[in-house]
Amino acid sequence: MPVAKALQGLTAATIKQLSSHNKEPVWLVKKRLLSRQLAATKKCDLDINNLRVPLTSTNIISNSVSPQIPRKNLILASIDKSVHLHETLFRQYFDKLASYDQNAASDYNTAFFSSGAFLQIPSGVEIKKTLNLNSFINSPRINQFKRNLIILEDYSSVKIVSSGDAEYYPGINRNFETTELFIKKGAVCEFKIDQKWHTNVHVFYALNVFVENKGKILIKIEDTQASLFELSVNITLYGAKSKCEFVVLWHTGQNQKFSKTIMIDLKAPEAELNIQDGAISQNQSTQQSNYQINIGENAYYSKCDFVSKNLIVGNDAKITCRPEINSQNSRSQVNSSCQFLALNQDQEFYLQSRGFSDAVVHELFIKNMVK
Amino acid sequence: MFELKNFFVKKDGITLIENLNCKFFSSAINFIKCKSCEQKNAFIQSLIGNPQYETSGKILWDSKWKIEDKKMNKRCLEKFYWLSDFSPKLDSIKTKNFLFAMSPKTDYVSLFKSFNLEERIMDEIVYNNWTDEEKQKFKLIEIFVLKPKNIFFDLENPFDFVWQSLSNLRKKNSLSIFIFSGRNTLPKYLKIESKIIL
Repeated sequence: MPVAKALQGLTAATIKQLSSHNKEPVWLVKKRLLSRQLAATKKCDLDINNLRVPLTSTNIISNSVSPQIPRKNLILASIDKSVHLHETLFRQYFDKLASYDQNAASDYNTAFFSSGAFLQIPSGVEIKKTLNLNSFINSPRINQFKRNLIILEDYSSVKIVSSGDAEYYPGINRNFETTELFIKKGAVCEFKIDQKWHTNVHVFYALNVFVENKGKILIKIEDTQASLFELSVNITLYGAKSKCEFVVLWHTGQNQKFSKTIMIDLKAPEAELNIQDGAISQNQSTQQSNYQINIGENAYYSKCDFVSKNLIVGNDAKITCRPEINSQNSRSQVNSSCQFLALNQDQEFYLQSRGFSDAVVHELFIKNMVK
Repeated sequence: MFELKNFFVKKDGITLIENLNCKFFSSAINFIKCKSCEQKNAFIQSLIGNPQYETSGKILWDSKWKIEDKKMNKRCLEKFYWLSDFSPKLDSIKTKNFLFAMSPKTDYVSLFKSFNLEERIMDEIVYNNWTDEEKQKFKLIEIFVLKPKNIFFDLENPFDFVWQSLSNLRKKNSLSIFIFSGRNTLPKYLKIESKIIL
């Protein structure tokens, strides 16, 4: 595996070198430079001048050449090539969602992305095989900026896994990943974030989703591994009868620090949102969740179910969960609950005496609390 | 076969079993006479791996299985089943989910029928307001699924069906049963093959 050539610092000069290397159009260079300026105005704890950015693409799109996937009219390519091959389409959708993200990491991603996937599924096409958008880090102390742009046309469907992997290097590696996902009329997308990194990797993951009439998004996030994981999810249920299921189960161990900021807008009639949030925090680990759900004035007869179950195991573990649900429509229905538990010794002992490992015991409690 | 050599068990600094030397043969019914409930617990808990009990001496198995390397859940998964009245309500865990986590492929509907256990229990929280009969039947289902090699029999008032099921299982599997009592004798219908006095 060749080691990626890297550029020093999140600077304008780095952007120019990146764009020049990829022979990018002027509009994209301008967008990158503007996003960098925008990011600088937002709160960010990173020492941006000391971050190294890979010059060359490091993305893998598994199954991209699978014969089982209908190739006709389907676009599945690396994002750097798509800028040239599908420029009109790319420009129409690129950064239309991520630019609204309040997170500086998303703006830095727009400014410095060098890898990722571009996927467009034509109307009515159902892809049965799961697509794996894999990213990996193959250099020490590198900061990878990966960008995915996915468009599901009317009544199409797909299952996607966004996975991550890295060889072990001393020092901190960072993965900045931003995905923009457009789900059009009647389309269905199952999106799984399956990021299992070494403990020296920090992950900043942003997912932005826009759902039209009768479209459906199912997001699953489980078994994440990293020493620091910051997740930012923005979902707009824009069309009538659009649906979102969001299932997250995070299990943090020694010194892991995970946080998530989830913002979901229900904008149309009969939109449905179902959130199942499970958190297990063990010794000296921290989890923080902020949910902001807005039910708009036009979201008549919409439904929102929010369940959060949190389990603290051992000493010095922390979990914070702040759900905020605002409804501007009296004809919408909201059910929410947030529970915090500590494991009873008798229960734990009984389960271990039946052969269950610590991890299974903890997950059994959370999984069974989340319906 | 397994053997205890110079076996000591302590809890909170108090010695509960002192210099025990004994052999147990597989597929046998072993009777262990205890002076006290603490002693019985010390024997069972130290072998299943409860970390509150400190042991010294040797525990030898006929195979390469090294008990010292195993945590409680591994010991219980591979060798031991503690059949007791200890039945804590497992808050928020439904029976079907518990059983699925234990073994996803088992046909529990048929198993429930064979033990004459009502199917509604599947949707209930484990041990929540169950009768003693239901609890004992459920434990037999656990034994059926886990297939332990050794059962530490520690029920105060077992129903007849428990003995019947265990003797049926013994015929099929090479299962050792350890019965604990403060008395010198046990019912005659139990054919004791070895007797140890703690």
